[in-house]
Amino acid sequence: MKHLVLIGACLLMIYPLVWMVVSSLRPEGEVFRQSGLLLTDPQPENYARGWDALRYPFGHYLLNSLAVVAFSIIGNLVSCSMAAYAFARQNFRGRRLLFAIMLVSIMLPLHVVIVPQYVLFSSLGWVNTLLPLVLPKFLATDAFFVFLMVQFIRGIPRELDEAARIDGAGHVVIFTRIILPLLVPALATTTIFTFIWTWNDFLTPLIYLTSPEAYTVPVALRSFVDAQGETSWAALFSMSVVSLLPVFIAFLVGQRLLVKGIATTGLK
Amino acid sequence: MRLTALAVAVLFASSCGIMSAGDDDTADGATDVLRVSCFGNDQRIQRVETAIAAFEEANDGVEVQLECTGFANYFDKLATQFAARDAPDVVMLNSQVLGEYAERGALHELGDSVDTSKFSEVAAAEGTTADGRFGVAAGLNTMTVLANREIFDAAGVELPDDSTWTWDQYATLAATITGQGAENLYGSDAPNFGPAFELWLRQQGSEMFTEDGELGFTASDVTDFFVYVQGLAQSGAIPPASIITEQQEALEQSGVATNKDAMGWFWNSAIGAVSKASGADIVILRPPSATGSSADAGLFFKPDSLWTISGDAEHKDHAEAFIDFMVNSTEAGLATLTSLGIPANSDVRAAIAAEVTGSDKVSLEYIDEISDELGPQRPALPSGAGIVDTTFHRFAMEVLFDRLTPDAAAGQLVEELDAALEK
Amino acid sequence: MSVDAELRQLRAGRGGRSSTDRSAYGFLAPWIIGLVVITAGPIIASLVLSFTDYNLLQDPSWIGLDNFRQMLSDERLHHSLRVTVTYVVLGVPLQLGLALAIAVLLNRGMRGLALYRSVLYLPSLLGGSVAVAILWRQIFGTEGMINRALSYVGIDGIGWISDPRTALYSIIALHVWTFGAPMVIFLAGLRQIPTTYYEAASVDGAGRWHSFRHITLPLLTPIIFFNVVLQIISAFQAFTQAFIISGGTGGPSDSTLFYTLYLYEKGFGQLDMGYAAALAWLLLVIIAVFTAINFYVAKFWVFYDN
Repeated sequence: MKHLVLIGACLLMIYPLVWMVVSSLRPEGEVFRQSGLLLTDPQPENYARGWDALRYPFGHYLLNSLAVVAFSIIGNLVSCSMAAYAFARQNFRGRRLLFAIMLVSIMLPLHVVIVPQYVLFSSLGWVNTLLPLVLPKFLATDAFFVFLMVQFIRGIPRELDEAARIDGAGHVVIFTRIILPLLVPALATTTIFTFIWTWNDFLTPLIYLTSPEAYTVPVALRSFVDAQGETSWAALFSMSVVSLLPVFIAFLVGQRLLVKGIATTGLK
Repeated sequence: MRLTALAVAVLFASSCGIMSAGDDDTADGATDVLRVSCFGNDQRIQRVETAIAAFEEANDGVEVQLECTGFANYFDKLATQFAARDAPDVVMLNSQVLGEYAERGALHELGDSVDTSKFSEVAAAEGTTADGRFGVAAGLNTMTVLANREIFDAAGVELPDDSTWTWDQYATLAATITGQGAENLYGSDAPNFGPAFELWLRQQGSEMFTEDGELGFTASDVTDFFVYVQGLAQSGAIPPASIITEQQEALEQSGVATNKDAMGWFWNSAIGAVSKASGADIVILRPPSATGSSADAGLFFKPDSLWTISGDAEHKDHAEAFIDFMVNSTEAGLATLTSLGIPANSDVRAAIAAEVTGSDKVSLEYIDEISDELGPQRPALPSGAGIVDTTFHRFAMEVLFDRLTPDAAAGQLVEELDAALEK
Repeated sequence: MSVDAELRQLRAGRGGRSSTDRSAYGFLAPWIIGLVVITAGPIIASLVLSFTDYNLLQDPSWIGLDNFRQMLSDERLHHSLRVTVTYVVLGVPLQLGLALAIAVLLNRGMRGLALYRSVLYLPSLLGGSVAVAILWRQIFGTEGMINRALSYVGIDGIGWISDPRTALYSIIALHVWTFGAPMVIFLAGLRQIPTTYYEAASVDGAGRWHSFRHITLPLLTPIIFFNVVLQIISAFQAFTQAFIISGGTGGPSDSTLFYTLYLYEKGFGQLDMGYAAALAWLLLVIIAVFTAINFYVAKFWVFYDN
């Protein structure tokens, strides 16, 4: 029974992907005439054509995106966990205020920050480099993950720290030897989300990367589209499906890390 | 572990590429770098690149750095760059925003630096404001009615004579097709409200905007138009409002392209996409007129894109030479063909005539055909007017969804546009 | 010490603070540098800009409170607030409730767990590309998936996202549908609950419901709290789905004109960045109030294990 409900739910959840795949196999231009899942004349060559339709083979954009994603993940994992440890486990002046400031920093809508931030980065000469995309991640600017880890660290029993402290461990040791291993579920969550959100981010790379050589996947996908003239929909859909693969794989791997969390906490 | 090593290697390799992108070209002190931005899909941009290669060949010591993106958010990026005083030297704009950029002092006045002697008078006037010339049309477009011949045939209706048809005939014809055609087929898409109203208005001797940048029409002009549009809906000539909404996201989703509507309003550049998506024979028609003569139809060119120069551009002379090359040289014309619109320079147009095929050829011939039927040149859009099309669309839809009367919608529309122009 | 306890302390006046841990600033260094160098500047700049007339192309000029005054009579703004609040009030609880229920269900040992988790996350992976925009419009369209399904039970559906009466609710449904992110966070939180607790409970003969009610739920409250706070913040800023589904217009008939959509239209569409900045700060205040209330209420239901 439980499985039946889940399978039903899964059908609903899987429909969007199936539709994307089916659409990617349709003959050029048919996407808008056929709305169902019926596919009479599959065109697998859409993938070959889509892969080479842009100036660089699509793999080039995938690698660019992977580079941005990888740096972002490393940055978020390191910087956010450090900040979270301080907020969750340490006493210092201004903690309450700084925590509030951190939360406020994600309350402002992105679109009014773009221009001042661009002014800042362009005056530093960072336009058309990776820095505006990845450096902020090394500086824990994404309060979402800091707060997330704060909440998880709070769930870790304090007796563990106390015991280590009595044994003479300092904060660095407690952080790296006790907290981090127990934080694996939160770190896995951070990895998954950073991957997906960075991978799908369109506006930041669009604004900061000016040469086509540096484009990431979402920017490349947009360049299939012409609002005034012809758009290669078949190529666009096939490459959209391709661009989903890395995120899906990332999720599969990441959620295995989530499971690992069990084993670790089970040790206690 | 092996996977990690591989990941690191890949990462390193690709980040080297991305980090160094586009930065190592100023090493040679003898060359001036000209930054050029443009929008469009990748195919169009590759065509522009070919033209640029020819330009670089002809201009020693100038290196063009092309910064192109798709149309999505192009203007957001551009405005951000202007705000940071980091704008490209040559900037592609469209006619919606040119007036705004010019009026705000963001653009370099071109004066006579770009030769437009081979342009028709109307085409040459594009890109000028009351303060002078700030842009040159990269290519021309005009509003047309595209008709799906197969739906006409199926309904047993003749294609109209587009040189004599009136708005009333358009409405009757569309309603007839709806009545005689198959179920769920309609005679017409909703008109492309802003441009259709502009034609409507010009046929009465007015313009959307006055030379002083004020609104050139009153609420009662808009009311008349909205009443006409409402009439189309009431007679069944156009589909219900929610269907219209679904049809307007992409050209290929329009009723004509999906073989559901017999006629629709498009810029001529759309004919390729519409033909391909529908698979049917798509015919290009002049929009209707008030008098029954296409010479009075108030037709106008609207460039899809215009070349301009940023006020802060470092090498204005090179930038001017670049624009001149792009719009006047046969080489550039042969590279870009109709991808930037139909070339305004008549020599270039003649030179590419033999090269273009299919729907591009239809477009090219159509632009030639209507060249001597054009109405007076339209004043440049003043700043704040960039929202005119979206505002028309929004209020027309309010009427079609029966949420506002034509009267009320027209009143609010005029009020909103007035406020936007004042800013 | 928990944040709510700190808030209590704030009201009670200072004191009770043990000595400062200097190494804390070391752990915080990246964040503090980020705040000073990257985050603070643009935030302050946007606050200053909210008192100016700024079109991006010319230098901003000071106009005092004019932008805020204009907001009082801006009917589209008021409308967009109503749209956004509806979205927050309906979307957040529905999405979180579903995410929690499914996370708890998936946390049980069960065959094919990894597969279910991945499949349930699928819609949340898709992002906001052009193809995805077409996908969602197709699903909710007049001839789309939903109406096909409805036609099997004899119901003639409407164009769910193209009808102003249903468009907003369709986007809310879509939001609920993409419950993957909070679900993953709940799953991670469930993983963190030491299994020894359950073992102890089962020794005591506690049933499933009992252990859910008395172990899982209390221990999960910090994570539930996190999701509530962050989902409210991000729901107020909702942009992408409405943007791609309405083609950036907030239509049909402004029915999906989310606050940030309107802000974007003002800032970049009409180059009225001063007004957009003012709008942004109003939103910030609204979100901050909701968040403060959240933190205040938290002390009555959020349970920290120390």
